[in-house]
Amino acid sequence: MSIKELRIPKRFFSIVMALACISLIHIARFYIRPGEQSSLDPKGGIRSIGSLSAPVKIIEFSDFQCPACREGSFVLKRYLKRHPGQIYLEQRYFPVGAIHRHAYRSAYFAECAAQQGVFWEFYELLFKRQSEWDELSGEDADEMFLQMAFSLKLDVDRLQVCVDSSKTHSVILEDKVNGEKFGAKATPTYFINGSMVVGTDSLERMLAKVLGERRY
Amino acid sequence: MKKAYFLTALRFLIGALFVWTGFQKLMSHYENFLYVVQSYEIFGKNSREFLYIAAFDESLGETLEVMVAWTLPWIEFVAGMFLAMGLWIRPAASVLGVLTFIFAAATGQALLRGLPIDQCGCFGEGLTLPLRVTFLIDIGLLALIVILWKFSRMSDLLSFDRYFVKK
Repeated sequence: MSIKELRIPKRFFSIVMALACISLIHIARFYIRPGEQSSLDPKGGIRSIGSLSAPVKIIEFSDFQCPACREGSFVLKRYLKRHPGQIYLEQRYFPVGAIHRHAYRSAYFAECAAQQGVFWEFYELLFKRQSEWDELSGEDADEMFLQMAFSLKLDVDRLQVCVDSSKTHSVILEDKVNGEKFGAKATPTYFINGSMVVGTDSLERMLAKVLGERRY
Repeated sequence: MKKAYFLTALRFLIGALFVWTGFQKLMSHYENFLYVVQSYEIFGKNSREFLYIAAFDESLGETLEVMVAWTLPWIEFVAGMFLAMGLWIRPAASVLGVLTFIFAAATGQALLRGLPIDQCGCFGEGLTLPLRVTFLIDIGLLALIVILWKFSRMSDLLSFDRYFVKK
């Protein structure tokens, strides 16, 4: 039996098809976005600031070569200063190698700095001097990262071994896979008390909201 | 008859393209597409300078950004489906034509303003293209949609519209 024989009005049929399209998306979402069923929990550790019992918990997925992440790091610093004890911040790596050629190398160096106990200093330095290494060749960028490590009095020999270690690479990859699992696609992505926000505009809006600040 | 085959194939292709782009965006978290919308700086905090509307309210701009990020992928997906299925071919082509015109205008203004946009966001996470390439694709796509719209009656092979023709 054809649709013609059924004598279904076109408008009614169109509404049914539109609803079928919407249902299709919801069904596909259920199977394609499994991350929604679980929550992203803070882990603590060297790449975190503040107390795990702070009312505002932020998990940041960032790429050190991304200009918006740099801007985001300044926003976070400002809020941390303005609201001491109110914010817990944890950084996770999310290098976007397709558009940022030093994304992975900078993350390796940051992870190795973390292993020597100076993650946040290195994090700040990488973002502060981003425009200086952004356009450099791979070798020159590495040289600059080593200079930064030297300026922070890190054990450079240990750092170099660490940067090339597969264990370091797997830490970065694990963070990235974890971020993707929870829906991160671009940088910077933040999870503020479990809610996902992408970009610095949304970060500022959300922080102002959860910390009860008025924005100007 | 050859023209009808060509136009029907074109209808399927354009419909499938929008189904795919809409699907990509809908499968991703809406916050990701909101970020793409924000990066074009049309409604947000930097838009006033561009639009020269002194009275433009920032919170209204934020609301508009959220609305666009929520609704646009659904419109793309459903209109693309309708076009591919051949249901309301002309109206579906009109909707997709308007959307493509908006995409071209948004990309064009971003190019003119030299906005630092890494990815256009037009194809969701499926494909990343430079802004100039995206702009050219939008213009080409708009031309194809206009052709399809003009000769929509000839593109109804394997379509639902055929079944609903009043006699």
